[in-house]
Amino acid sequence: MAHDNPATTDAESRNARGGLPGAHAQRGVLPFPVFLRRAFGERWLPYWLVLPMLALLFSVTVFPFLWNVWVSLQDLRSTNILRGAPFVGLRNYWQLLHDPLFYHSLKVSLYFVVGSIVGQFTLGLLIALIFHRRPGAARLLRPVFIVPWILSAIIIGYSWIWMYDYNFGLINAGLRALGLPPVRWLNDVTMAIWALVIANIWRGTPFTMLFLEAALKNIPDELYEAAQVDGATGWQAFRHVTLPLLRPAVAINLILVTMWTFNLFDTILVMTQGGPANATLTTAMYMYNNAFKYGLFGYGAAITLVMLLINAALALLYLRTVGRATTT
Amino acid sequence: MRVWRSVRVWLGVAVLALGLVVATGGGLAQQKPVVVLWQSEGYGLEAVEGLIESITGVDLQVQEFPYGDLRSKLQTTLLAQDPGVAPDLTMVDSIWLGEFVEGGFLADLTGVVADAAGDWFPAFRDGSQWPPASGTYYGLWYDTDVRVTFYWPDLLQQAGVNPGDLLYWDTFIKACQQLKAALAAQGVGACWLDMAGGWAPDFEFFPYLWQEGGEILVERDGRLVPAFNGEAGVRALQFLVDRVRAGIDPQTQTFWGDDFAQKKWAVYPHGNWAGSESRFPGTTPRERQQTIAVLPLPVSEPGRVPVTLAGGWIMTVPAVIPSKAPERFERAKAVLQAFLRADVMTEYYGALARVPVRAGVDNAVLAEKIEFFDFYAKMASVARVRPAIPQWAQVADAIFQAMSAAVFQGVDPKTALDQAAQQVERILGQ
Repeated sequence: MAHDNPATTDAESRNARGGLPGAHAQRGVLPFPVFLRRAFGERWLPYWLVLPMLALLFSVTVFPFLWNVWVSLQDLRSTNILRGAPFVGLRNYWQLLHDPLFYHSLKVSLYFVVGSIVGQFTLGLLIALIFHRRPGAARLLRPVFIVPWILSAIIIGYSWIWMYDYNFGLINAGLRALGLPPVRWLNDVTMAIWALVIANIWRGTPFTMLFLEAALKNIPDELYEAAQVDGATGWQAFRHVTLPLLRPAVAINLILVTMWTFNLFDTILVMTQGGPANATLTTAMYMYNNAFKYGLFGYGAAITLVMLLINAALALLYLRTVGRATTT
Repeated sequence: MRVWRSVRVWLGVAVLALGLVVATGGGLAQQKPVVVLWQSEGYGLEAVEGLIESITGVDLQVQEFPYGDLRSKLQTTLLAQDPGVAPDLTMVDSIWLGEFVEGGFLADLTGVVADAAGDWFPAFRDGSQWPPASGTYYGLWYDTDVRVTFYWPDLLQQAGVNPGDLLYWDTFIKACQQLKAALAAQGVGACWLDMAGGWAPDFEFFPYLWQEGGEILVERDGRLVPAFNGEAGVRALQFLVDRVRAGIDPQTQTFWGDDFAQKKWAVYPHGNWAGSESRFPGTTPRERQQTIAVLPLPVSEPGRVPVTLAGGWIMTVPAVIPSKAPERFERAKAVLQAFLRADVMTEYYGALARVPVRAGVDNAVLAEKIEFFDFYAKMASVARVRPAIPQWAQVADAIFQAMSAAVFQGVDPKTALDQAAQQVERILGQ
């Protein structure tokens, strides 16, 4: 009966020659040449074939992670790295739990992340909606809006330093021209973190804009037409059609932006180095100081792992929250 | 056709061979042994490269790294303990010495440099040893920089300020206020005040602490303890707070003297590089001396001796070179000894306008080549240096945080310094 199906017949004949994959799959035979199957065995061949990629992944992700865990359990410093560092178990974590500057850095990171996300997301969504409605304007303006995202963080940092300069900066020059008092953007302990947030919003908004604009394009027009037929206003259509369908994209965007912002370090290093008076000392900056400036590699590794846990927790939280909202 | 193709092939081969011969210097000429030296960007040992090569007969290859990268580049490279990747010689910032020696990265060079160190000024001779003044040299501190007060005389004149007012704390503050009132409208800052990073104490705290008779750290019962929070430290920090309260804006970004050269500040307490050709390109020392002027950092009252802080670089050899490549160590020693000759160092100081760390160099030659040379040399001879302990970066940061707390958060100087001292005690005790 099998011969009634010409495809099967063809597959069998190709199988005999070690031919096309589809045919082998139909018979439950691995789609690889006979000599490979003979050399590695039918059952183990797939594992052997993915092994190089697994080894690569292990060497660039799993191994560094495990090594970082190992380093965090030692008192490894630049002064004992050649001699061998003593194993201290969880002492670095214990020390971290009793380190007031670490808690301070978490608070600063919270301000920085929340401020950046609120600004980036609101502006990004607004611009994405405008571009979605006005394709002509989008074609014209999109390349300009993307510029901050493609610039190097270091260049962005230096550009904002100049703009924020109290004496010679562009922003204060504008304020003076309007008869307003100049602001100590980077010299004021209260203002400095918000100055960084503004710079980061400027840099990150294009990413959110592009991401959400792409997601908006995937919403079928029929849904808006149906809503219109049902008498929905523009706001109602946005509230009941656009937002629910954007949720998966919003979740991914928020996860990415949160992690990037929490880990952001280069712009802060250039603009404030954590100052004034630790007012912009984020956790990423604190980790850098300990590991690379002070040469306390073990302690720095412990901070990194705690940051990783925080990132993972935030990602889970987003996924659960948005997942629940999508299903209800 | 075939003949022509063959001619073209042979012609090509001949050109290639000729190119190779030219590129390898004729192939027959004897190769000079290579000595690789790592330096921080802008500290041009290449200025005396030819001179050292002619003395030693080696091919000295100077490789530059940005300041911020040199420390980590050295650490990661020397960690490999492989002479194949390590340089033969390297310069290290004087404040890295303790960390690098304790880490086992540097070679004991006592037998190589101890004799040469005889005419070094004491601070630099002691600072070349670890522990300081222990008799064990890990290189030789070969140049330095001093902190001084630069100013534009024409701007002071325009504001009606007497340069002598910049010599004492109280008159300094009044002069800055006067300058601010006169120059703000034309977009010129009055007095630079550096609060830009972990180096700010070098400019705004340590020199004044020392002037007042204080110390950063002292040894007690065989261990280092903080001393910067004593009376002298409180007075030094109060001077900083007084300046800010008087309207001198603390600057959280630094341009390392470029802004002074662009005449954006009237008074600029800074390192001597701020008055050098690197900041005033195309000018001669004489022209710079006629354009800008320099004074010691201000003191609290007449009779106090101005003290400055000196930084600088130490020329050293990675530990892996003598232990695993002794023949390269011999060449590195030859280069080091050639560089430390008074005539070579005179050439080096003159070419780069660096401040000498020793007597014995030709001051008459240098006075022609370096602006304000006599003044800088005098300041260097009485300069103080920071303790090059492995935890220095942490200690400096803690002190900078005390300064920041006093300046930006209004914390009382004594309280701020005591808090920093507690932190430093923890750091040193770890």
